[in-house]
Amino acid sequence: MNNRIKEFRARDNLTQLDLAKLVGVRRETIVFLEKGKYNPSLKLAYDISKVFNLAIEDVFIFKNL
Amino acid sequence: MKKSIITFIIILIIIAGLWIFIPTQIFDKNDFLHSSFVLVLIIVLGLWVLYKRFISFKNGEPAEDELSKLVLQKSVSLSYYISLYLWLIVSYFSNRLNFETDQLIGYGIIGMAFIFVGSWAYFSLKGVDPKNL
Repeated sequence: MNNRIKEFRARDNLTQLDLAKLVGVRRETIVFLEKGKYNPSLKLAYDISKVFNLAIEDVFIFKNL
Repeated sequence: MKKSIITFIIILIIIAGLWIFIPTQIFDKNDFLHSSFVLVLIIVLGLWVLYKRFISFKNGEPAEDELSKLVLQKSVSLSYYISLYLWLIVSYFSNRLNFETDQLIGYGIIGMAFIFVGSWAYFSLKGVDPKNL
């Protein structure tokens, strides 16, 4: 699963720490998400999308592994 | 943060207990150095974990989240798996080397602790690969 977190975070002028605080996770989690080294839970994906005022599928791109 | 304080108190109690009992049993200089090395490692690791928790607390981040829980879960499962081989090796050498049972169990437990720390560091730095879930 790819994501566009970094892109939308830059658009909204948010740091990794800001986003982490907004969705209630540690900064490392955002780092790993942006690097594609971790797939978030549905709740976290929903929370992140909500911060950017977008739908989950706009932020997260699902691919068959 | 409350959890970190409890963990810190437990670590302090364990260390205090070890310091009380070790000097009555250790007469050999090498054994004392060996025990001190293990104790220093435990203290350094404990302080490092506390420092990281403190930084997270200062930044307003939660002490634990879904990734840190997953990392811990993966570390525990991997270290358990590797520890099975460790105990196989320990049992193989127990008949061939001149070690006492207490020593073997002690080395085995220390080995398990090192394996756990190693696997935790591995997953903490590398992340949990979504393809391996």
